[in-house]
Amino acid sequence: MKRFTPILHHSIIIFLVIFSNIVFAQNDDSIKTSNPFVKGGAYDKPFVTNVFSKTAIGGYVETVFKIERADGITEEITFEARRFNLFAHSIISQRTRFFTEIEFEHGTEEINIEFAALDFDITSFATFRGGIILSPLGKFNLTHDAPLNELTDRPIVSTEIIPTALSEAGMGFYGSLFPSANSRLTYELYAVNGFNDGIITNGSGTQIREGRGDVGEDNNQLPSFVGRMGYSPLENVELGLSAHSGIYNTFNVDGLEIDDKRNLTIAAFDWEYNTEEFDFIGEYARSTIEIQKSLQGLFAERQQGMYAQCNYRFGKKYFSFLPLSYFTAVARYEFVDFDTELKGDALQNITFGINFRPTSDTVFKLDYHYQWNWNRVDVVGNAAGINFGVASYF
Amino acid sequence: MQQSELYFTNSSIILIRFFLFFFNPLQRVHILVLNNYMKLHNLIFIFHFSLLTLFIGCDTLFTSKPETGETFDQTLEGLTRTQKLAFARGDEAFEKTFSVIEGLGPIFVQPSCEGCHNGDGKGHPRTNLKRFQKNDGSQVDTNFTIQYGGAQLQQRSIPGIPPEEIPSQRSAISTRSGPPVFGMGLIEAIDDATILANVDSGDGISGKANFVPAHEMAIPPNVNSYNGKYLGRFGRKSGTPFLLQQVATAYLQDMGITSEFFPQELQHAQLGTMSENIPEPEVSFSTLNDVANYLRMLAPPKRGKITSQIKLGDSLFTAIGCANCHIPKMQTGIHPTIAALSNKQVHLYSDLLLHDMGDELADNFIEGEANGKEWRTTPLWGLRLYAENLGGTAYYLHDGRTNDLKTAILFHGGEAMSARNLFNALSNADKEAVLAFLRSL
Ligand code: HEC
Ligand code: HEC
Repeated sequence: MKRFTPILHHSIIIFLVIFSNIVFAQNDDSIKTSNPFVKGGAYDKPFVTNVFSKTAIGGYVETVFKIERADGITEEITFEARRFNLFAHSIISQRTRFFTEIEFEHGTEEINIEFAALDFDITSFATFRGGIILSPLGKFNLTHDAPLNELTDRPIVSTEIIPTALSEAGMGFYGSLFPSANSRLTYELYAVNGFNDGIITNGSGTQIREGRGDVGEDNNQLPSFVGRMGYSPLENVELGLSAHSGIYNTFNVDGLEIDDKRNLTIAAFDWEYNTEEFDFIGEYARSTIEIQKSLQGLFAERQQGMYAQCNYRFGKKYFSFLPLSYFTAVARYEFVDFDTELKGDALQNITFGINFRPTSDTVFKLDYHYQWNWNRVDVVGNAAGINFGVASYF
Repeated sequence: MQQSELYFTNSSIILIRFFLFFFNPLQRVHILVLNNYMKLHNLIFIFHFSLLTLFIGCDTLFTSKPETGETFDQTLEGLTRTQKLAFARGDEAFEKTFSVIEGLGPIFVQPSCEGCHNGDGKGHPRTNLKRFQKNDGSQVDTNFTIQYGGAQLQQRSIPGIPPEEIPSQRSAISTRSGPPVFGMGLIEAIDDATILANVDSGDGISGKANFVPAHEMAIPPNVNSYNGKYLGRFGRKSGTPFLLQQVATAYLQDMGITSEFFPQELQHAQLGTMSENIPEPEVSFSTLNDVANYLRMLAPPKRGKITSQIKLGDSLFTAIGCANCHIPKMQTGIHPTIAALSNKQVHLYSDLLLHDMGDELADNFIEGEANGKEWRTTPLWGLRLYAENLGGTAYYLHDGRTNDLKTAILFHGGEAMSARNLFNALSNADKEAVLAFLRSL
């Protein structure tokens, strides 16, 4: 692995040179298509600029300065180079497209292909998609780019119950239907490899994010299904229902039955309402995890969580030299219950933030959070901190 | 506080620089920045001011430390820097929850030390462990114990492996909840002679020492040996002589984690030898040592506020004979490695000896020289904080069978029968005084 790092570094530098040209060539806020399938999702990224004839590239970067204290003890004062993502998209033919996103987390500590899927339009309301797909489970997973998220941290329900960024190898269909002039119904439905035994074996207790499946091979020869329906009665309102369900454990090896089949189901409800000045967004998710008897009462069989967030935009053109600039004030409340059978093992978090965007694609975020976390015997501990982050598309 | 302020002053300078740096390449910026200077200045002022306000409300907004002596997880005074570092490492290991891929199991009871010793205090009855054996009332059938994979039941197991079950031929089951683990170094530093001085003091209370075999890797230099056995101090029946041994045993028996002490995975009572395919040992010797040192350096909490009622309770506690077993104070000798443990008064309210506690508390489980009715006098220090570490409810006695302090006293039988009867005969106000005294420890 070590041997490749210089090559990586070089390629990053080369990319940076190309991108800086793109960035400086663009001095305006980007123009987004009027009604994308998922606002901020694949195919709705700014700065994705043509470099070669058919292919376009872009990306985003995020760095955070954190101060974190828990029960009166300073735990962290640190810079965190969180992620560096590259997108590329390609119009292959009139009906065929390809989009990919590669994520470098904490430098080169973790490199992931978050998305790499081929789309083929069959009819006006059905497109085939196959490849590494960003699972349509909750809205946040689909639109988790740091420059879109108004706070430095992702909602905890969207990292612990829905393990954002959740991408899986699979195939399926998506499309939009228009029941009336103003309303829209979108759907996505895929068969995917699903989760694996890591949920139980890789973390402390039940940890869904530890069991994100392999894109190379399903661990149990049984696909899982994930889908989301979004309904927009008006253009600025969206309600989403989504679910992910399937067998997660390895129950047979070489045709020999070694265990019972165990199911994991995650269901989510998300909402969004936008006005000129305000956004009201949020998500609720719950999971049901079948586990073997000898772990019941120790490992969670049910978890749930939610977040609700309000964004308020103000101070447009406060600086005359930055005509596209504005500020955003943000408040988020969140709650996650890691084991619904226990009184403890839960957390609650409030965050207040203020952002400055010189243009809509670059954001300086400053936020403060206070957290209550209850352990398994319901003793509460507190943590609080300030984050200052910069994130930008490029 | 001062340090953090410094960070913020620095960070706002960094912020100004950041703005300047960001805008400079755009050439015309210089003039623009001057034009907008007041706005920028205001902004940074507001930024700075709000951070300052935040820091004035530092503790409320940024969480506060518990006061010294009010929790079980604080260090002794007078530790060296090296000792503090070992403490920090041990603290982390003690809190660590093992995952299957890190070696948990294949059969186990709980995945972390903390799981049975919450906040370094007691375990919740939910996490109680069980031991079983076959005995004829005085002699343990050791073949039975070996045949069924050791005395401790591991009722939990990793995916794909069934848990152990207690064989029906056993004659005794002992259910135990985790005792608090602070002050272990002080207990270890008390000389054998100090403890043995209380053996059978002729007051009708027999006080018996438990001499037990030791794992050879745990035996410290210059320790007294009694025909190849050692004075037991740790565990509900004083079944373990040395802290390092207690730690290594806990890793294996409670979590299924192997070490150089016990390099082989547990035997399954029904299925025999098995492993989870993770190379042994799963923790290093230095981790065992760090955890043992961590436990040694955990200080007992301070006494609570002392009122006149509590003073009355204190004297009644002695007068009715509770203090014959729950000896209020002992003196440590010289600790070979941690100076902060040497020559200290220890207010543990125990004689660390075994007593026959009668039929109601009996588990009929024989451990070393302890018979089925004998228990080590439970140290009562820190009793006022038990509930706080268990989410509001304290559970008493070896299996956490009651959350009512008075009931715990009324369970005393055997050698403690007369003290219990005397307690029962006290007026309600006097009973309350004794309870208030216990709740001040
Ligand atoms: C399954 C629950 C459980 C786990 C996990 C556990 N313990 Fe314990 N611990 C107990 C019980 C029960 C006792 C009393 C043992 C006895 O009576 O022999 C005990 C006793 C002790 C004692 C002696 C306390 C005294 O008052 O004599 C120490 C020290 C200790 N444990 C440390 C640890 C460490 C270190 C770990 C992790 C490596 C650990 N324990 C993991 C349940 C647990
Ligand atoms: C003969 C010795 C002896 C006498 C006398 C005695 N105790 Fe105890 N005490 C013990 C032993 C041994 C235990 C542990 C019993 C068990 O866990 O099954 C214990 C346990 C306790 C506990 C429970 C502690 C815990 O954390 O679980 C309390 C409280 C207590 N004693 C208070 C008293 C009071 C008050 C008196 C006087 C009325 C008293 N004891 C007299 C030996 C004694």
